[in-house]
Amino acid sequence: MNFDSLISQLRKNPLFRENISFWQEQAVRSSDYLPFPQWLNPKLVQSLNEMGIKGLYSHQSDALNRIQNGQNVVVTTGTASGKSICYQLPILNQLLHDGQSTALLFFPTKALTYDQLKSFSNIILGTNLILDPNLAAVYDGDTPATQRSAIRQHSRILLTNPDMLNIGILPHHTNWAHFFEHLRYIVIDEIHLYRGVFGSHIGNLIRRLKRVCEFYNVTPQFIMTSATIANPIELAQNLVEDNVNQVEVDGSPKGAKSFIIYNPPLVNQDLGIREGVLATSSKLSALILHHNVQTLVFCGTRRFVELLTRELKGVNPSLASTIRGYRSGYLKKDRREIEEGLKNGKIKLAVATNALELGVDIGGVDAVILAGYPGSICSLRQRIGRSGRSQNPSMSILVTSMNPLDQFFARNPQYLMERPLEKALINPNNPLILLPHIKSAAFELPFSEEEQFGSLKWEELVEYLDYLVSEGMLQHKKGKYYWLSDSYPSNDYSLRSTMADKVLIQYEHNGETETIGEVDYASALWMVHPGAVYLQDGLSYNVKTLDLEKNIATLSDHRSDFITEPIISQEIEPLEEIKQSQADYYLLHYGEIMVTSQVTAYRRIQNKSKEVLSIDSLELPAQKLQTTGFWMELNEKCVNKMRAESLWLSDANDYGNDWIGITESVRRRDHYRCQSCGRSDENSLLHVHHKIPFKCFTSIEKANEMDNLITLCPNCHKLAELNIRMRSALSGLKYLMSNLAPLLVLSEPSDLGSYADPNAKFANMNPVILVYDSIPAGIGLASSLNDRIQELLEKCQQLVHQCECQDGCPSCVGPVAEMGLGGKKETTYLLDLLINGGE
Amino acid sequence: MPSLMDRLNTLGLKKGTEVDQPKAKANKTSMVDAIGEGARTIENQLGNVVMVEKSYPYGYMHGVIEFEDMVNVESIHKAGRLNNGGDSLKKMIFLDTETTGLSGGTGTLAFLVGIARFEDEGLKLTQFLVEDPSEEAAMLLEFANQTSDVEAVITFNGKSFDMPLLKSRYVINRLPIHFTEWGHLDLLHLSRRIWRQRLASRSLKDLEIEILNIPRSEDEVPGWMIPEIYFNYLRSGDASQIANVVYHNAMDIVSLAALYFAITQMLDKDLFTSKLHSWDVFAIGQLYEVIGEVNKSITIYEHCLQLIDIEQSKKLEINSRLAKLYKKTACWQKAKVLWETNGNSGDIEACIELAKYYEHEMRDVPNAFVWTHLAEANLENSNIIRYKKKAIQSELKVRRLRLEKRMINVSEKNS
Repeated sequence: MNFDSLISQLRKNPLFRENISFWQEQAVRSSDYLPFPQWLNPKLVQSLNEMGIKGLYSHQSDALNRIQNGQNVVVTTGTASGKSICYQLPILNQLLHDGQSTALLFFPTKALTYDQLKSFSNIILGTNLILDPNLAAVYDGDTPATQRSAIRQHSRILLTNPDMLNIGILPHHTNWAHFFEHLRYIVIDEIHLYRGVFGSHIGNLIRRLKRVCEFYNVTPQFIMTSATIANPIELAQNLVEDNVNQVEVDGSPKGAKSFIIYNPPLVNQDLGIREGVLATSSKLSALILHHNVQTLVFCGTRRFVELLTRELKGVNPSLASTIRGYRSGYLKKDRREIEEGLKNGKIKLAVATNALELGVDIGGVDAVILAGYPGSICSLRQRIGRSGRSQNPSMSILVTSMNPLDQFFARNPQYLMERPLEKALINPNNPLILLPHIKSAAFELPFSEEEQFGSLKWEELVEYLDYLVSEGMLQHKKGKYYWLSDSYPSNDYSLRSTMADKVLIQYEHNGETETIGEVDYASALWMVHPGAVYLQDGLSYNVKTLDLEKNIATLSDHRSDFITEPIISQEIEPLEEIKQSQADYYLLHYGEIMVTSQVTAYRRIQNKSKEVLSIDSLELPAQKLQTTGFWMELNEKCVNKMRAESLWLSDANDYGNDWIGITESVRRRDHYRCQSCGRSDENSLLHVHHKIPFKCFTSIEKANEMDNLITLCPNCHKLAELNIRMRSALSGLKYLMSNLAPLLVLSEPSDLGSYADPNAKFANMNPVILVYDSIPAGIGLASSLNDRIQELLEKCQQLVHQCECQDGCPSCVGPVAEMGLGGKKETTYLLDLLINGGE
Repeated sequence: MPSLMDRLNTLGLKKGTEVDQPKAKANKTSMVDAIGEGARTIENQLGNVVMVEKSYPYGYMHGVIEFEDMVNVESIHKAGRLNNGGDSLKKMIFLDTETTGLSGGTGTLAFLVGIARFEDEGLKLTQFLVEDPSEEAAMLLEFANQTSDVEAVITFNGKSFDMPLLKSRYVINRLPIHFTEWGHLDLLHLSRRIWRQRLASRSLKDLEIEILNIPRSEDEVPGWMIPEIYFNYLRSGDASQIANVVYHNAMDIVSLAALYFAITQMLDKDLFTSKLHSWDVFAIGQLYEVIGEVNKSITIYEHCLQLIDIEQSKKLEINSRLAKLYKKTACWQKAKVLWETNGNSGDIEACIELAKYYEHEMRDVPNAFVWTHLAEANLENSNIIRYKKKAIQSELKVRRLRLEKRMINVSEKNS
């Protein structure tokens, strides 16, 4: 290994050096070590000593003491800081103390459960006390039927996953009576993953779990762990609906670590096009590989993993056998082999999806490359956390893509280092998520009158119960609601989606079909309509068919140089306004809305020239979405300010040599009358206006065609220009807001929808930008953004000011704004106005 | 404010199959009235229970089976692996439940628990019904009270269904479970062993037709309809269809008792004069073999071979089993005859047995070699699974080589 020469290569070689936009050396941190607490069982201490563990890091000690004092805790220290110890020791200590206590642990993935079992077993072995082989056991879909009964009878430490809890354990809680009666601890690992729809399901699952615990007269303590997010306590409290204390200060040692942001060079400055992430990551990987430094490359998708692995093997044939891909879909045996290979050093470079992000045990590697920002800071940190073996020096490189978020971080790396702003949000009371869990809960135990479901009050709960009575699933008799239906409700839904439909995106290649993603039904209509060009991870596909019966979109490779843009007619109807606030230049509303959208056609647009090649109509059903959203209504003062602003007059364009003659013929055609207000003026003071802006054309002749020109009086001309500019500004801001929202709320880009209208009917014809949750009934994203609007606007302002492009690009206000105008200037002006009154 | 239903619909919830909500009827018929004879409501400290009682005196014929006072139950209990509580038939109950579903889990309740028990005059059937889910605890308590002296239970598929379900109901209602120590004889498992080869289906319904020869009356309702009947009753308050469920359950239990008798008689009666199907006789022989009554099963197998209606393939199977028992009891000559018959018809196992017999019992190496050789030839032509074939092949090879060596040694000595 030649780590130092790699570092100097990166520092000195201009080929690399010039693209490095950030380089931070993280200092070595020594450990903060404390002795085991007095109250810890001596057998346990002995067992730990035998394993070479002589004491605890300060955060472990803090967690143990809090748990011993009966507190619920969430541990948020870094990757590889020994978080597991924080729950393993209290569980084993209690069990050694009374021989009865049980603990329920759930993990987001099966692989983690087995790793944890191994880790538990190691400590248990040393205590030479407990001999039952089922004492600690994994109970999931893979557990053989022959072992299940023994596990139910004898296990004291049960490792499982939320899905098994939902389907296999809670609806059969009487079989686990002995386990529940002694339940002391509930451990929820990696809670930051329980956000959005999944998290809202988990919130309800925990309500059910607590309800069952209450039946067995136990009140277990919750021990949680989380990656670093903005609101770990809030999330933990929302999940378990109880007080939770945070253990935050990390006492574990860290080696020297370099963190580098590598921003690929611009290949087209005007359009803001950069070298691709794949190509760049491949180059960097090859460089690191030649320095014999073990590396892990993280990619967004499975397809990306395959492409990069293939390329790297091709470029480095002599090292091919030490380069491996790793992703879900590989056989278990192959995955174990790769994990082993990483541990023992036989594998030099692995290209992986997020399958390696979570705690799967691979030791540590010397370098990590992230091919693109992974979508959230907590995910980024977990990936970076894979680098660093014991306390050796290590490095991580983030290769930024053209996405606004990536470019934001390339320019503002401090946000990656500080405490993140991103919040994990859940909404367990979303009716579509709540309803199925109320069914399952009623199946598990009859509801009594005046009962609450978690924090859901009886008055709200009873509505659901009465609904289920009317649907014939419950019967209301003598103060109780009994499940009376020959069905098993937990089988009817998945914890990972709402009841709303999903469309699978399938890629067909050489007769093989791979599912590369899924979108909700409503988004499918505009994202993967027939004929659409669908982009994912920098690769483009052509949508062959969209089957709305089977909910499958079929894609093939797209080879031509055009993109598509759906033409969506969208109508917004506010249903109930919940909040309103006012600023100098806008009014901010938040509430329930109905979004009716229909994709009526799509444009095919030449990629380079932006020329519209064709407009093809589509026949797709209209889609209604009831959800929550906020809308920013620009007031008259704002509009006037923009109108008055000289900035709004466009730079003089060179309209060609014939321009004087052309204007004269247009005026003549229009009978020297303003075609908007009808004012006539013989003195040629009337203006000639380009309906589609001049800038949008590559040829002067086309722009100056008579059909595109119209006679307007100076006043109407100004209004028309303003309208176009207003559209540009709104569209640019809309693009920025929806792309930067993940800075503040942990979400996927498809979780939010947006809408802009210069004359919104529902807002007194004022200009409006609206952002809404694209999950029916909402999951709390728009609500949180509404509360932090100033913060969001500032981030947008920051990015657009920093972008080097000319007049808008994919990394700031969007590739092509309304009518083909960049709109960077307009967006910037509007943002400045909204944030600091234009000062 | 729109109703929750409207809100859910606008949110895109697809409506499930809507249930027909029967209107609450004006003239409701209560359970007791609907069931009629034998039905009454009783009260205990937890509430009301509807109880139905009916008697079937000794001498009563259920199809071809007559309920008798004196039966020898030892064999059936042994065969059914009833390990405790089977000493007195009067301390055993036949049990069957009717439930609100088959999916299991805590949301399924048993609204009817039927039991039958032999008393001094004959079989007495008692059914406990839950008139309303809030009375479930009262029913469970009543069942517990009336079965407090019971030592064992006889069911049909109760090991995996009825008893775990009842256990769950007691937990949910926070009542002590009084039946954890009961012995349990599940006739489903026994019936499978007896009729696996002869009958395509061993459901209780088919056994009623094939073995007991008793048809059900027009009151019968199929089992899958029962949850819905109960739900409809709860919604409408009209119990008239519940009478059909009560009939269905009664028939299940009485047939269960009759089946118990049928099997008892098969095990107990003089098989040589009975008109049992020859396959059934063979199956009983196997049951005796399982419970370790070697002499009894030898007698039965020997008898089976005398039956005229037994097929050749069955005969080979009987030979093989019988030979094993002869070997066990060291009746080598008898075993040898049977092995020879089977061995000559290509039975590899019989060839191997003969090879062993000649080598170890008779010290007759040449004959042992002949049978080993035949076993190998038969194996070559057989179509048993590859890995098994290989295992036997290598085992036979070892045997053959050993025998060859011994033959050479012998001939060397002789020369």
